[in-house]
Amino acid sequence: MEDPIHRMTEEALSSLDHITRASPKPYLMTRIRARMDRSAESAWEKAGKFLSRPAVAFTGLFLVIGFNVGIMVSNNSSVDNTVNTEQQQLTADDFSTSVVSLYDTENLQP
Amino acid sequence: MLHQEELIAGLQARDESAFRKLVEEWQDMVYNTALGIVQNVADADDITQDVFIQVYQSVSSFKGESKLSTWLYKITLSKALDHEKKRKRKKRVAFIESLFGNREDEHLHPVDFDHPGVQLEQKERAAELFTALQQLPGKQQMAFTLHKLEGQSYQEIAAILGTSLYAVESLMGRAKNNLKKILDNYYRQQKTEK
Repeated sequence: MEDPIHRMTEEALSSLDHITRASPKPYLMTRIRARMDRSAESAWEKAGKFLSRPAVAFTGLFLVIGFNVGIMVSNNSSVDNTVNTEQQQLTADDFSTSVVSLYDTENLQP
Repeated sequence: MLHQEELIAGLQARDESAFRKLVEEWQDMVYNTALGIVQNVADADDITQDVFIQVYQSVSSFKGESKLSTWLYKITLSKALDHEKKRKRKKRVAFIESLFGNREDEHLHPVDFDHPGVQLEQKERAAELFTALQQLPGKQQMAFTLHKLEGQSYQEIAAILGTSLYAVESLMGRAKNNLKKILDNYYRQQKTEK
């Protein structure tokens, strides 16, 4: 007696013997054209796509952060210089021996 | 029917009527091949569109060393297998997600595929064969699909896969053996469950 599992396996293997070709839905050409038109991007869309690439976006982000950090560091150093100059001036005034009279402040012109 | 050289020349000249001819003439072949691999009507339709768009865009690189049909088969198989790889990757991710949540993805439990060209009395067995077919390695799946669904000879399959006739014979032998094992296991499992 034939093994039913063997029979089912053989049936499955020969189930495609008289298969006919499947066809796509109608108007394939119209769908292809529509898709090609959609993918024809403008220059701005292309630029947007390029900028949204992770490598480009992260590089840009790090450049902006780096630029900002650079500006902050340079600003801090110039503030320090101003503070130092003011401090030196105040110290010099504290130890100054010259007397500023009322006449000197009111008659600035020689 | 336009001669292949005329058709290629028309496509390279961006002739709309040549492109239309190409689509009309080869759409069933491309669609049927893609459908055999991805086993989903909507996905096969998308792949068919992709194939023709790629042909239109890269026809300038076609040197005419092989038949146009061979080139179309190569593009179709490559796109269909890429699609399958992505689908399987998504399926793995969905499975992991389902372990941590209650996500129920339909890709985890695909429905049996019903090829429209299969005869009515063979539908059930054919659906089981298609399910088994998805478990074969890529090259075996391609060779079996080209031979059974597209009726391609081993010689033509060798040209499409870029391999020898002997390699195709070997691929087909292994594909049939693997399918027998998969189907045998499936039917035994069904029997024990009853």
